[in-house]
Amino acid sequence: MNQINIGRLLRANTRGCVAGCPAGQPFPPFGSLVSIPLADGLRAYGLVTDIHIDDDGLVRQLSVSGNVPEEIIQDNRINRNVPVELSVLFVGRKQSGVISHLLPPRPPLSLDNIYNCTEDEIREFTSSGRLGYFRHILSAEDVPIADLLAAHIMQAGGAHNETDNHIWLTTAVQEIITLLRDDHAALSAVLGAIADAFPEFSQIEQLPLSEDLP
Amino acid sequence: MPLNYLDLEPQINQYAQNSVELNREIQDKCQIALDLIRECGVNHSVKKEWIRGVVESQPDPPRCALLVDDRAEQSYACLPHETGGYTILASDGSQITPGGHDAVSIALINTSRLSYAPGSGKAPMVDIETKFLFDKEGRIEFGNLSEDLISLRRDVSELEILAKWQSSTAHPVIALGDGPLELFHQPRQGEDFNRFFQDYLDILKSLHIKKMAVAGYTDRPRAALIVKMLEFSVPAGKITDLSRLEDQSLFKQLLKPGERSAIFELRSSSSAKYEGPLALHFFYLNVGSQEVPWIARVEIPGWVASDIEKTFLVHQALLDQCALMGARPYPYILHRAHEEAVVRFEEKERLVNRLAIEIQQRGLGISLPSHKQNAKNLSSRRRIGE
Amino acid sequence: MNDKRANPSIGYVVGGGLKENLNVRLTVPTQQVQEGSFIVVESHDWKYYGIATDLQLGATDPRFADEQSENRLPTGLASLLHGQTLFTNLVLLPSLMLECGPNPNDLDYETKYKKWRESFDSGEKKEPQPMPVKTLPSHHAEAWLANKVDIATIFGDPAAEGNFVIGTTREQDHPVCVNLDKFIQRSSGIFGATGTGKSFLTRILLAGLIDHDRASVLVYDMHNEYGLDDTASDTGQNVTGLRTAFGKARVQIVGLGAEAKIRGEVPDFNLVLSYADITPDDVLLLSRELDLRDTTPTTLEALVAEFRREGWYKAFRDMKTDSYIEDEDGKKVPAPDSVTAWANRNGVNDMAARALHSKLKRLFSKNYIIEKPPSNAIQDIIEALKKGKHIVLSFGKHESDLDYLLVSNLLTRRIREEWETMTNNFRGGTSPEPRPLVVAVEEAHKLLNREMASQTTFSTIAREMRKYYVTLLVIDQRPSQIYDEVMSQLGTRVCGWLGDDDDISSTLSGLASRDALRGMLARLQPKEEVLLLGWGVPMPILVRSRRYDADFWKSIKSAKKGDFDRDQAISTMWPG
Repeated sequence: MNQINIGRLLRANTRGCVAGCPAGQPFPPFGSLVSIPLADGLRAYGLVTDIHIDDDGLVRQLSVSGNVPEEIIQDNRINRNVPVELSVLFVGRKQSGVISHLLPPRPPLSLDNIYNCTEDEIREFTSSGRLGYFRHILSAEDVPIADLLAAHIMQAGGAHNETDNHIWLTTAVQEIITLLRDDHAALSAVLGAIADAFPEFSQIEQLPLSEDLP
Repeated sequence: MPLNYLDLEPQINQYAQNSVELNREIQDKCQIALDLIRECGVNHSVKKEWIRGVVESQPDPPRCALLVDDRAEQSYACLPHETGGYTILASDGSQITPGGHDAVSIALINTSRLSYAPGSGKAPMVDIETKFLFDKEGRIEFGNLSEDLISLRRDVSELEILAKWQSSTAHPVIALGDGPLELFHQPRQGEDFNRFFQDYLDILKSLHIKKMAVAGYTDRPRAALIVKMLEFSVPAGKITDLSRLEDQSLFKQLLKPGERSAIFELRSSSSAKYEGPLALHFFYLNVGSQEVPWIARVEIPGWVASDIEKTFLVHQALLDQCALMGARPYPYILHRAHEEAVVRFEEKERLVNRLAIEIQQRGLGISLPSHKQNAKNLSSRRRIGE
Repeated sequence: MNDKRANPSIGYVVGGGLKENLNVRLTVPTQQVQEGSFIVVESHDWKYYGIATDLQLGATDPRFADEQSENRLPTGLASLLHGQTLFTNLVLLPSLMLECGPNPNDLDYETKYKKWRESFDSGEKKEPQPMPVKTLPSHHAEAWLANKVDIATIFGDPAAEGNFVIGTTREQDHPVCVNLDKFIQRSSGIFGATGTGKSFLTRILLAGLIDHDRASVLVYDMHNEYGLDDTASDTGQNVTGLRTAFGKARVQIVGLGAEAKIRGEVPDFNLVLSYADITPDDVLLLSRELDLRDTTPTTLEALVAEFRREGWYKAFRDMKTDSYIEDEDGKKVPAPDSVTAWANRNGVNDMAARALHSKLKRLFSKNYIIEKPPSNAIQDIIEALKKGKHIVLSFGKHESDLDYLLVSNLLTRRIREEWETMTNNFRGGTSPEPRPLVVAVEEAHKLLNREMASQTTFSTIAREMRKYYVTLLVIDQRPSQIYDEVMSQLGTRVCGWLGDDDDISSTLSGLASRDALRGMLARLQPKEEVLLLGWGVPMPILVRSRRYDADFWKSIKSAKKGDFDRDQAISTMWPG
């Protein structure tokens, strides 16, 4: 998977941004890791927390007008001046080649390019440090935290499993449990979502909790 | 302050009462007009010459229709016909007129063009031209431009962007504009008007050369061109008053859904300037349904009016376009051209800011918006929590 | 001293205090640790040693415990959840701490260690020794199941002289030693309900003592169990006796009575008491057994006054009862050799005297008390013990409490006198140091109950005789019946399963952290597990007791056997 420019920044603050991307081309799925190069070799990382596809009067009118020719569908997807808006939650940054799970020091600027992350980048970002970026996810407002975590874990866990690193997934789930164990309702929701994403979780290698005593 | 409903109440009653009376009157007049138009049909050649004679004898040339080849009451369905594909273009424009109250005064027109080949499966191409208005010396117009003149130049641009369209397609091309092809209804004077009118005619000629099927689409026309013609159709000495009757009332009776009317020539104070193949013609088209007839007027130049294939193509393309919009028929491509051309308030603000920064960087001061404008811009009352 | 551990830790300290116990959050499955496990906590330069006294299930939120999430989540996920929200806290009773030097994981460990060692090698500081816990490990200090080195650090090196392996730790089978030199310095006890392997444990300890040979051992073998081979009551297997194992030259069996046979064998010599051996005190000790009246001391005093200490018994025995003669007046009067006549002569209540005589008939009929025994058996026993031999006094068929009380008291009294004399002479510089003696007493509550304790020699021994080189090894199933003051004097306590709450309380009397140990004692596994307690062991510890079998005897170096290789035996028992 190569790094693909998926759109440009519409608006941002220090915690997140909204990017516009053309409706006609594939855009990164919910929960996936994206990056935004900033000035001075800085790079901001974020997770796609929401994807809005706005309607308008014309779309509503077309939607009930029977057979819509392909050209009109394409027109509405590609030309209509409403891009697909991706909400991105910042989860970390890379400065001078070092990844940190602190928020980017300054938000990106309008029309900065946004790229999806390759599997290598996902592995690099998620295995750096000790999953500190989970705190950004858990404290996010107006975000379906459970599903976001599950989607992220699915993407990142998949990337790590590609390189036979099965420990990451287990470590990540353990971290989530640690962070949420005082919040039964939230944790139940997150684990439910992860269970939906990994119904075969039992087959994933577990951390060596203990070695057999001699 | 709110309206004074106490004063309004009797007037509302009166309004409704008058509407009922007017409706009855129009129904009566419509019946008369129908009789007249059928009479024109029966004696087509005679009436055609008669009307032309009466019109030309008028001291002040009236704006009305003239009979051409078709019988006046004739209607034409869009018969199934192999077209082999076509390309449709549409343009629309919008403008920013300089306001005396603005901080930075701008005259700008924004023109859009959509083009696509129905059935190709490809999304329409969208092209947009945005330009400040220049005077004839080639300098930016900073002010003193009347709204009329800007509208005129916008209309010219709308036609121009259609003419600029380049393609190697072997299929026929339909070029749609929003509103009448006739540039203006009332006579205009002045150097600028003449200059841009001449440009307009030149562009029209180039479209003719490119053999494009040009048409101007007027939704819900209020004109009474046919009605006026029918008034002239009665024998001398006999006066028929069909005032307040609109053509569309008549054609709602005459045209079934999808049918167009006969083609008429358009006579006005300026129509003489559209010579030969440019001569303005029009027909009415029912784009509505059995339940809700909906009449549009389609203006076409002479070279289209005289080409049965092109006329048919325009007829069919418009019906197809209107069908896309479902219960509220209007050509989709025109709607899209409009959508692309509109300059939104935020966009204007952004442009003004950009200009202001640029000007300030060159050491010039910016005048504030007028206090009147500033007061208008004050936010309205807000409720707690809004 | 501080070594890296091969096994992962079992958890980390999450709280606790010196007054209450330490709480250790387990990071291993609960089943890997059991109550009574010997645990080591390492914190900075110190190691803390203690035993697990409780395990408690907990949850970060009770709802995690309430709902069976394993039904809702994939197995792996559920177990991760449980791993973090459901936990087990181990309650650790800390006993000892030991300075163990810098952490081997430190960067400059070598330098630090060298510096630390220098302070001892130069004599500036004393070599660190385990000491009672006076401070606490830090939060999150890691806890381990004790390894062989830990056990050896606290309980001694099994290979060292004087360290006797009494059992192994339950989880990991590391040998746990008792220092026999320390063991014999104070009286000690072996407790356990009937059938909990008490007598096997006693055999093991006695074998250890005999083998170590620093003290002579005298066993009052009421039920003839220890000297000769026996058959185990439950398994039916042969059980090697002490004499069989060590040989006649070292262990001698003394049978009570002239014709005594022990398990069909003739004992090494017989214990026959002479009339002169029986003192009024010996009789008074049997007051309860013989149901003697309050008047008995008066009667006895009169007897001694007339016949002296050596003669009273014979004289009284020879008196007749209900014997009358006719006087000169033809009147029926008590015969001069009758009890009544004697009583009348001495102003003693006739009824009382006759009652005593009647009750002492049970004694008079004992055939091991004769007028003139062929040898002074008591002195023989004492001499043998002084010479370093070990004696098992088998009561043969004289298994009644009366026999036991009389003989053991009588003998012990004599021993006490002898050792007191020897010690005094030694202190006075006129004779060599007496050889320590351990007196093993079965059914000790019969001799050491509240009523008897004030009168018998045993309680004196328990209280003060360690100064005179004599200590008791008390073996009993009802420690609650033993007089508190005696119990509290017991240094080393080896305790098997006890069912009775009072017995448990008595066993733990005088010890710190009684409450924590109480539950453990109640849940010991009969026949396998024992709790070592008291002064003689550095800290309480639960051990799986050794098996009393051929392998055991192979490890006893001085036991009679063929080609015994001690080192090989040890390496077989504790591989690695």
